[in-house]
Amino acid sequence: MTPHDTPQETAFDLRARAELALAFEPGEPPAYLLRHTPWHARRGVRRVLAALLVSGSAASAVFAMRPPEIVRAAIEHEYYERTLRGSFMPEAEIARHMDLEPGKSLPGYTQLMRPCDIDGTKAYHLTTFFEKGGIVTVLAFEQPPSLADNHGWWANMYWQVVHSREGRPLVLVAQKKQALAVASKALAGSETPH
Amino acid sequence: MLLSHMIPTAESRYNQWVREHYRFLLRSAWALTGSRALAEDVVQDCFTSAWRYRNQLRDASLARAWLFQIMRRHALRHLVPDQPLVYTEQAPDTVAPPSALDDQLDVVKALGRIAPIHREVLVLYYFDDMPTAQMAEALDIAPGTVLSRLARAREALKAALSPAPTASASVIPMRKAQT
Repeated sequence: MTPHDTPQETAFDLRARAELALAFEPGEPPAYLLRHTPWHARRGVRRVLAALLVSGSAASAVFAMRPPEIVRAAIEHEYYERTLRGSFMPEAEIARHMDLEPGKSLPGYTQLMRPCDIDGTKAYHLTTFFEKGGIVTVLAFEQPPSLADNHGWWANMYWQVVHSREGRPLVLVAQKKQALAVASKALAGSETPH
Repeated sequence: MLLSHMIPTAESRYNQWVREHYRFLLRSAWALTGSRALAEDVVQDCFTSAWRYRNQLRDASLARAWLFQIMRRHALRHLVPDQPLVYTEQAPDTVAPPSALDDQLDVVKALGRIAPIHREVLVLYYFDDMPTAQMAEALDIAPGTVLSRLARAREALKAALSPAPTASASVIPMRKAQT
């Protein structure tokens, strides 16, 4: 109490305080009253563990979806040349690099044909339009890299690796999954699972 | 584990309450109920309730008064109206030895004879020297009432101390007897 609101302390009050202090000795708080949560059961620790689990799962999922380096470079290349149109090399030559049957024309309505460089590898770039699918970019390489048949989704693009009649890997990139299905049917040497 | 000691967790806040206020609450509950064993139960219930409704505590500086208010409600459930308290270490259903009352200090005996509303204000005053504003919070009354009630309580305690039978006249019952 502050000096202003304290009743004047008398001998009686002192006696009362002393006797009550003697009579009611409480002791220390018993152990059962205190809480001892194991460190691993604490809410904060659980939250951190849950966050680690979620972020770990997310990172694993991202790494699982990550395509080979040359495919990622192909997707990036497609992004920069998406709007480019024209024939910068003969159709027959690009058809040869894609191991199409002699005399067979390129599939779809061709939009872009040109030699280019992808990640230090010389490649042949064909962008073509399929009526029942959409635009697909096909990349064949001068020095065929070792790529297994595979497919996936990366950087908002669908990609697929198919092998030509001669066993050369072709990288297909499209914004629509259906376009890849049509293109792979037209370009792959054998039916590939999709 | 070092981190858990550095960051104040909910658990450490609870334990801090127990460490800071247990002694005061147990003494108060004991003085209000008459039994130490019962007081231990009351205080345990008090901490459980307080933790459940901890969001209702707006001002941390009023924690002691708020805890007392909760403890007081639990303690009042165990009080028998108009019956003086005999202070024991046992639970109230066990019979206190006849010498228990005689061995007690006079002020303690007198405290058992006065009305609960006087007993609780004296408990706050003598056990804790609680400021008037906090006493008002603890007793759920207006601050202006605290001093007048405290004055009456001291008079009642003095009267209960005196051996004359008229002392009981100043003892205010908790409830009026049903007629």
